[in-house]
Amino acid sequence: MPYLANRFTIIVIAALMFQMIGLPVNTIAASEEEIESLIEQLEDKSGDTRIYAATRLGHFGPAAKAAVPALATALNDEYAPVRQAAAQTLKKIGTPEALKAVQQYEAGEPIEIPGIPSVVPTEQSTYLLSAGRNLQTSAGLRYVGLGLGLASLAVSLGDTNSDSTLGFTLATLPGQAFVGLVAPYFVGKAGEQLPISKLKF
Amino acid sequence: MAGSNLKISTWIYIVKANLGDWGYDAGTALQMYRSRFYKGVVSTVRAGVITMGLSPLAEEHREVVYAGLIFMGASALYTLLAPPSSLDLAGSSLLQADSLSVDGNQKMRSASLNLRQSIALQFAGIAASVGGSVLATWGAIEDDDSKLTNASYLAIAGVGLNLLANIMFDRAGRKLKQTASMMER
Repeated sequence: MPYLANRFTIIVIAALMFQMIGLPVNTIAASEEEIESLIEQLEDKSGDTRIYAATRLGHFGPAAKAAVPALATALNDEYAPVRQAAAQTLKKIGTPEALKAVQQYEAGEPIEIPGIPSVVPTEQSTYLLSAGRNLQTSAGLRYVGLGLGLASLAVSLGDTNSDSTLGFTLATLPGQAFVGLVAPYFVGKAGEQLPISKLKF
Repeated sequence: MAGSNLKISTWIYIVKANLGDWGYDAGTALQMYRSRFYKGVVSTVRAGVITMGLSPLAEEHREVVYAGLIFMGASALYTLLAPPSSLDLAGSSLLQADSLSVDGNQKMRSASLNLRQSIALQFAGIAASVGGSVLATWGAIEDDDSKLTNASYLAIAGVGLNLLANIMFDRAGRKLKQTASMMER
């Protein structure tokens, strides 16, 4: 019993000393297994679990530096609370890589993931977005062509006067020909956007 | 530990590793679509001009004009059939983007499926349109109203199938845009 009392006293004194010299007393002992488990939870489907994992990792302080790449990735999470929790935890971890990621996050810059070569997703996504837009432009032009074709078909089925039907069909023909000729151009343009391999990673 | 870190940043990692390859293949296939189409159009127009130029010889050298007409028909068929087949290559290339991320994968698979559905529907639409044209010509030659009516139905089916093909094409474009927005912060 006196042994336990002495031990408790030592812990209290140590905690007070840490408090005095400014070390965080809430930094709990690092458990490698728990950190690993929390890193995995950062990928969980549930947003709440990801928030918990990001927040809990902060309790380990600098001892959770192995979680920096995962937390830096979490700065791109679709849920703002996860991103905020990850940013707070990275600040608590405080390594240069962690602080750099937070700085990039706060500045709205593409975040470099520590340990993985830099990638600029926004640049790649611009190409992909442009390719998608071009495919849709092509489809839009073809809709116009099909609309004109359907209109002339409807007129030819409904109108017995062959002269006026022929006149309408001839009137729509240049439009159909134009969109028919231009639509494939945009497919090729989409194709120009996709070879993103020209980017240097 | 390293394994789990890599797993966490899978989509970004895979973008770097694989985006170039499948992007290049799919892009080349889409450019092939354009080049095949315009090649076919130029060839058809050239055949038409040559056939028109040779028409004064029709009385003496009928076979020359027939050859011109056959060349024109073949070019027109090439213009219709060759471009959609390159979409198949684009679709299968997009399918190789298999490990972007779980969501990115699904979008790319879906875009690929849409492109392939578009090809099947385009071919079916072309078959219906060509069949309708043949039947209409046959009906006009024989003065057969029933053939002309059936040709109209085939023409409507052709337009409908082309419309569906276009919807799939449109959806593929939308999926690419959605994947792009998923890649943005």
